[in-house]
Amino acid sequence: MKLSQLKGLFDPLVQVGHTSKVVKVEGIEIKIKTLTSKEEADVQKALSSLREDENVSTIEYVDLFRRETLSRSIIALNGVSLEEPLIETGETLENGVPVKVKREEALSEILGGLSRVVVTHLFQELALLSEAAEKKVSSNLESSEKKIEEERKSLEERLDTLNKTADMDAAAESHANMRNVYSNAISEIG
Amino acid sequence: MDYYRGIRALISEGGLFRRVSLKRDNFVITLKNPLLSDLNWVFDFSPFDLTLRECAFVAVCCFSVNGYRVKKKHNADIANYFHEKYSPIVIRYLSRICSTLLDESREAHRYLEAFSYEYESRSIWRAWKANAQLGFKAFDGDVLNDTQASWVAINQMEDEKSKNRVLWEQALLVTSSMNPKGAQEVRKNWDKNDELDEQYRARVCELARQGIFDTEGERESLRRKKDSYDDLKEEMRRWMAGEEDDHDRAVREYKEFMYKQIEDENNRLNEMHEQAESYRKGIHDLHEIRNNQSLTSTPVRAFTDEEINSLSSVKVYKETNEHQERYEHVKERYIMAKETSGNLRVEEGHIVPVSEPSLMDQISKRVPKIP
Repeated sequence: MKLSQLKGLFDPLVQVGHTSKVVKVEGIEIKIKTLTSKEEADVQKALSSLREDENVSTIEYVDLFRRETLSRSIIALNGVSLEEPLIETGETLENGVPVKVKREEALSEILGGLSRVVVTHLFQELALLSEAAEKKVSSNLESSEKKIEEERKSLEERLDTLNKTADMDAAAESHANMRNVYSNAISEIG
Repeated sequence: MDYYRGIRALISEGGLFRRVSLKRDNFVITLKNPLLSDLNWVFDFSPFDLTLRECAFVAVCCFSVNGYRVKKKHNADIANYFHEKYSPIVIRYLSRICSTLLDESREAHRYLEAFSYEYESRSIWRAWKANAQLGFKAFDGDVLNDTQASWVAINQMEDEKSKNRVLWEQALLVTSSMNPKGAQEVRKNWDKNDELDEQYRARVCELARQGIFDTEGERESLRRKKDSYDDLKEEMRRWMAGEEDDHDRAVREYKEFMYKQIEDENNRLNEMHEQAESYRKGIHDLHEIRNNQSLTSTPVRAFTDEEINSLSSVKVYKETNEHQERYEHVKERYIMAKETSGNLRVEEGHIVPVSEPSLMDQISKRVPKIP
């Protein structure tokens, strides 16, 4: 059997675990999808340099994580597809060739301009989408013998994910509280 | 519960399998527990990227898709395909199953020794050999898995043991015609060893059938019942080094008990002897008293020569106590005697012979004398 044929046999599992949905934020329709393994690995790689930098605060790290994840998750804006790997900036070179940047870079820049509340909302929607995809996988795929051990591992992983999410939310909330205190103090002085 | 299920599958079917299906697409993927070599490949393939490594782990565990076998040469491509296309949720789902299979195979491998002692195992082995002799494939796989390799080695040893037994029986038959008593003695020892071995195997199987494995101490003690060459050597080394084992302790206590008994007996005999002495002295005193003429108012007179001669020939008796002598002899010869290690001694934990000059050396040093 040729490799291409073999890959073809594995295709049915490609769609399982991938799902997408449209989220409306202030009148803008944003279509997000779950990430592939490679995209998840790319996010980790993008963060690896920050992880070693002691000057980066937790909130900066969380912001970048969300931005990098969402830049790979967003596939359409107001019905305009963003699935191409390169996006034109609108500028042209002297020879008339349009300037293009990577899709992830372009979206990361756009997301950097949005408020943290919007980004956090989008990220929470993506987390809900991943959870729904996980349920879909569990319900669609049937194992010939379901073992208690597998169930235990599955629940442990799920708990780990939830703990990480909770940590990130706590960090964001703590930052928001501090900002409010700071704003109130300035308004009182003013 | 059938605790041999895992090991049976590892040997007969070549591994532990789990099928994952997707009904709506008529899709089924069969996963198999990975081998040690597979795991080594996974770590070589992706030493740092954990996501890719997880995909590679699932790829090596893919045994077949919709009935088509996945060949090892495609592992890298399949891993990259999974990395590129599959959702991490699916990869994690499959990876969990592969991890469980890995754990199960490790658990099943623990039953290898016990299963090898079962009749069923020998039966499977004979079937394998029959297939091989008729030119068919003995097992459904390219290479033996880790468990199969160990199982084959065990069965080859068992075959070797059976062959040796036949040869031994033949040799014993010849020996028995020349030295029946010696042959009988040898057979007795052989049968004893066989019996101990059978007992050990039966116990191992009995425990395994109940799924019990944390009895290393018991299994070790079963093994220890057999006095192997090493056991005997170690025992001798301990004895020569003055280390006391259970047997030595029992002997020492027995000796101490016996010695005390003899001492008590001795003391009692001494008392009896002193009493007898006292009686004799009393009798002698009475005799003296009886013969003492001064006490009977006999007048003083001079002895005649005959009387003096008769006095000088008074017999002297040596007192003996046979009972005590016998006990002393037994005590010194058998109870209190110290063992000697002959021409052997312990050096750095090993038994070595004491070097003595050879006969040739002794002869060469001899000074000839002219008579």
